[in-house]
Amino acid sequence: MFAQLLREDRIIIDLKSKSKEEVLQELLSVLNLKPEQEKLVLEQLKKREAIGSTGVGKGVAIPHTRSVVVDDVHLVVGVSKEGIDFQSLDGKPVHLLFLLIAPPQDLGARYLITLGEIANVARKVVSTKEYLNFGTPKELMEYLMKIYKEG
Amino acid sequence: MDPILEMLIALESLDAQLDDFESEDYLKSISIGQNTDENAVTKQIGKLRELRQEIVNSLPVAVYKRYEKLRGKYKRGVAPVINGICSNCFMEFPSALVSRPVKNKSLETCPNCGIYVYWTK
Repeated sequence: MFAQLLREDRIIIDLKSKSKEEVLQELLSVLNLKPEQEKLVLEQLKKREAIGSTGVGKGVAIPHTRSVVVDDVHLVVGVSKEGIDFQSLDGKPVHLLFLLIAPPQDLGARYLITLGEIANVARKVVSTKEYLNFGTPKELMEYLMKIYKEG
Repeated sequence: MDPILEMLIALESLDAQLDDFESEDYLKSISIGQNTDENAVTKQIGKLRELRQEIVNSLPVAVYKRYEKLRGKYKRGVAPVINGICSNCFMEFPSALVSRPVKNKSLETCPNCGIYVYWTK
């Protein structure tokens, strides 16, 4: 699932945002949702963050939610070289973000499977932080795909 | 957008997220940096339920009752209409309804299955 959802045009290698709310908006903007839809999804993402940060530690955040207003599962990857205060579990700034959005019901549980796959990829990339060194979305995509395929 | 529809969309999302907490994959994904802390998970579920209750309190009783009835029957209370088709029962909406320029400004239901609908396009 991760491999199917990872797209070059949905990777931002130089996030400009400094705060959690800004970066959620910046990641969402890539999906080109209608303003009304973007607002609703953003509200849901903020609600999800309010119950507990999706900054899972070691510089990684996986903001995610489900919403009726999207008709498919969407993945956006972003890298912040400076780091973002995401109120992470370990208190450290976040450099790598995986935004995942899905409808409440998705065939084949793609959302949950993808979340699990993102977690596996994230676990492998946090030690080297190599993801900070890529100059283009394509390079980062190829790197993440390589990590993913290694299983 | 109709404010009640907006609340129903938020409620549907929260209910789906509550369901997610029962998945092993979900729990793994939110605990990369550390072992899964059961207390933290329980707290998050508690907060989700509080958020849900806030929405429920703001909804008209009849709307909430219908939503719950729909969830009992279809496992969801709101469904998107995609390309003029109800994504719950796959009934095609009449073209006069599909071609309206303004949608989601009032609370609507599918004439076939009765689910609350959100027009995506």
